[in-house]
Amino acid sequence: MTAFIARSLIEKLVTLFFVTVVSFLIVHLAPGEPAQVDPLNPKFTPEMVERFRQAFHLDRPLPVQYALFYRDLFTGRSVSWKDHRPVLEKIAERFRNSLPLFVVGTLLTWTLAFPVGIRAAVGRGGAFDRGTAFLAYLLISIPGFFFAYLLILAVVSAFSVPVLGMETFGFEGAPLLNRANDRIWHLLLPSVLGAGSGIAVLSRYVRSQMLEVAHQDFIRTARAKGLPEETVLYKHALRNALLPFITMFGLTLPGLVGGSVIIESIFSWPGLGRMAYEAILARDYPVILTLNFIAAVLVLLGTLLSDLLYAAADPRIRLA
Amino acid sequence: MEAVHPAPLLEIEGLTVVFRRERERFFAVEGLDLAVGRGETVGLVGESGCGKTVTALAVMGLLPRPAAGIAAGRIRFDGIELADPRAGYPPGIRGRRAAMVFQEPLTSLNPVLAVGEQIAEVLRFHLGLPAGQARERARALLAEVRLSRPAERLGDYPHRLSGGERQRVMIAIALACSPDLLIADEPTTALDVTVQAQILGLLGELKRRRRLAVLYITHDLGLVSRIAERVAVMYAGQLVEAGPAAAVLKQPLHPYTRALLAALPGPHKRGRRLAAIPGAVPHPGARPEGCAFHPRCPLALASCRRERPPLACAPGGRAVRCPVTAGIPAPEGPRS
Repeated sequence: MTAFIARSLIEKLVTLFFVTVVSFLIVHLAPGEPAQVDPLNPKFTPEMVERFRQAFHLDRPLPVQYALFYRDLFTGRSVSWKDHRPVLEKIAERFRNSLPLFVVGTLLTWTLAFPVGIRAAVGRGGAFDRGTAFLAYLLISIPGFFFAYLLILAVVSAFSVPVLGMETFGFEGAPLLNRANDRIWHLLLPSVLGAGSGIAVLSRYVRSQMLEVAHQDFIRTARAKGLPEETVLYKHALRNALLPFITMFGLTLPGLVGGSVIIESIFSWPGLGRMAYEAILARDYPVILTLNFIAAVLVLLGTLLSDLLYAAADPRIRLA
Repeated sequence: MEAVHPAPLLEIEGLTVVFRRERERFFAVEGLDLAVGRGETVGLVGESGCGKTVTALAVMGLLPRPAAGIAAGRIRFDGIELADPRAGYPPGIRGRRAAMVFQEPLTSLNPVLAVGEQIAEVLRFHLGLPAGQARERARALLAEVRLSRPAERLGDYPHRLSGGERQRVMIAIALACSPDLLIADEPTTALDVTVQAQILGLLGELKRRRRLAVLYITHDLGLVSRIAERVAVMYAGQLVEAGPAAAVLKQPLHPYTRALLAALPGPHKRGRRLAAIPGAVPHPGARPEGCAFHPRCPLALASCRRERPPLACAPGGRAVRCPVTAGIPAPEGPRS
């Protein structure tokens, strides 16, 4: 077990190194560079561009730039080229905003998708199954941004509550209870929307997994034992049907970073996804690369977590 | 007081099982009569797809729904009706008084539950044993089916066990609540020959010790002679011949049984080609009119093509569904 963790950590470090190299190259291969964001600006003289390039080592060879960037990242000296604020500080601030959205969205997805999928599988072909299938495909096929606007219109006109941003502007001095209420209203719509398509997709997977397991021989054995139907379904079938989702759960971790660019943009939510998007437009290399690095670390940790959870859940898997 | 002819433990009368698929509909079992007495072993023999397993599933109330259903007939278990569509399958029979062992030991156990739990849960549910006692009984059962180191095996998961060991665990599960009837659906088909012999020996021993009635389903006529007192032969969903095992194997009446026996390999047939039955088993949806076996039958009369022969009684407590050979014993000894 310890040997497995140690070996896979080493493997993942090697992978991480290649990820940093490739992402660094991709960012630098992309057309445009920070100094040329606004070349037509008459105030932006060639001398200024040159100063800028020197300040951010853009005049050095690529390998040197690579080394300098990751040296700065690990010593915490990396700063955004846009506003000269430390990158880690910027990310931490946005992370605090994104976290509630991610947590609520993930909780909603995972707590609702399973009951829906299981119920649909148990009553296969029935009204609930058909109804949820219709809803699921509807949610999957309607573009998120369009659906978001419909929801915003509905909520604003029905409840007259403002829903854009993280809280209502000028509410800082309000009593705690009102502020909390306001925050929850603002959190509700983007998380429901983010969870919606997740529930739709995941519940269909859960349903097909349950149906697949229901045809296995050991389910027939459980029935032949005369066990009550609930025991057959929830003890014998469900445990086996859940195994593949353990892997998926580990892979939700990277959603912390890239999670919901579209939703954050629509709802003016100052989260990580939007920051990444804006950083790409501004060619703010340190922010892009740092976010990329964190996402890569989360993916690798997520796969390790999946492996460990899977080994804990399935007795046939032995980590060695 | 013991009656001269006690009612059999399991009595199947005119069982007809229908399968519906899309607009198609066919009979997997047609008008089957079969009885298993207390402590008796009956071999149910036939080729794949002849309705043996469907019969067993009907008795256990495990027919795949909604595709399959009992269209007609009665199944009585110790006087209790099992095939009443309105009443549903009565509680306290399946897994408690009638148990089943399946053909595929490798996939019949739940891969994520420990072996001990898979036995103990039956004891807890049917007999209401507390967890500790159920575990102790599970250990005793593993010892009874001759699994080595039973106490250690309780915590093992199925993938650590061999095919034969898994089938022993399946038998232990089946026997956990001391059932009156054990249905064994080709329990040794997936195992290699030495393990097959061990499992067969174990079943014979358990049957004697526990006075267990066994319905042994197999396609292997040779195997039947070793464990069954009576034999029923099925072809295309129908019973074609039934009677005491020794008599049926020695002097088969139905042309199908004769052909099956002739197809068995044996030491006296060394160097000869194995006799195969010409033709193939008809698909249940496209069975011929008249006798289902007539296209493959060497003795078929013109009437066999039109009329379905009834099951006729033959001397020696036997029955055969053939107008040609009913009451006419075949030549003695294994045919060559």
